[in-house]
Amino acid sequence: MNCQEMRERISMRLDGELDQREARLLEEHLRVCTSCQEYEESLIEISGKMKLWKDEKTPANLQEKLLQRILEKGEKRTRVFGISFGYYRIPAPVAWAAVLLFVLLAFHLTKATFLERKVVTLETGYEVATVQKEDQVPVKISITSEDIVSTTTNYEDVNSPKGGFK
Amino acid sequence: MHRRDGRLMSNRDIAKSKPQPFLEIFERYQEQIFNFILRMTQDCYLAEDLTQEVFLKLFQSESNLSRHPNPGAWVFTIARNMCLNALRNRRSKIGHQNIMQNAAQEISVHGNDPYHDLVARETADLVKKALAELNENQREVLILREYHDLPYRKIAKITQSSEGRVKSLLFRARETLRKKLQTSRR
Repeated sequence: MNCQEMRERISMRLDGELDQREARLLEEHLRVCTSCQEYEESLIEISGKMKLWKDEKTPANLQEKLLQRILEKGEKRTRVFGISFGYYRIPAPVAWAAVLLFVLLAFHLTKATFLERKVVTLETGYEVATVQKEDQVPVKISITSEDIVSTTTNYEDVNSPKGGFK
Repeated sequence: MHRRDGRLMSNRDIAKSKPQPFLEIFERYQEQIFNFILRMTQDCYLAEDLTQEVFLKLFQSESNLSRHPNPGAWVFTIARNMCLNALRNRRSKIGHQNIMQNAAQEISVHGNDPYHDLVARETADLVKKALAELNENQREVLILREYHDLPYRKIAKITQSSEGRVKSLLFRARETLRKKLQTSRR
């Protein structure tokens, strides 16, 4: 092996990464090569010089600043999704699923009310009327004259007063 | 004090609400990560900012943290990637030569003998300059090896490369550093 290859092994030995067999080969080479001996000494010296650059202490308020940034991030996300319990936020898919469910439910309820009103306006001309749909109990519903879309005709068979309807 | 749900809360409250694995990792690695970034960037303010970024990212992926087999290597990988991005951005803005001039942060050398301190400070300053002149790949492996005492296997994991490449980068880094320090001594 030449000096270049041996120098790679010197670097490895310095790091404790050289196996026994290669360490033995290196030892044999170093016994006869002054240039590589000097090289090894220079690497040890460099390593020592590098150690003169000591670790710095972390800035005193690093943890506080980090906590502040964590909170800010949390608030930004809360603004986007609008839902949070204490510090923890609801994950985006769950939040959006809840919003979608709410919209569907609201649509369903509105539609049902609308249909019910339609039934009423078609069946009576009175301001207060009793409406009975199939399979349902009679319900009293208040309506205004604006709700009347048409006047109906023959309700005699449901016990309405004769000529009472307009 | 910070507002949360309309009431005031102290940092202690916030800390309690944070998941335990995150706190443990933060306590254990904050100084190491800060110093790794400081040596990579040689910019104290950037190091502080990036250290916060690293742990912020870690906090956001806390669910993965508890399942990670080697959280220490993961923290270093995040720090390393952030450093490289920051250095790339800075280089594109001000150019490589100016990075050296901007890195005017004073090296701390702790000792009692003023003369020895002065010599040590000058030597450390030379090391710092030589380190800054290494390319980023060589610099990161040398810092991880010399200052964090990590084995090749871990360095390879952090830098997402092979042990063979780490070995070769370390050898070349030492070779370059040796030449630079010899030149500056003359």
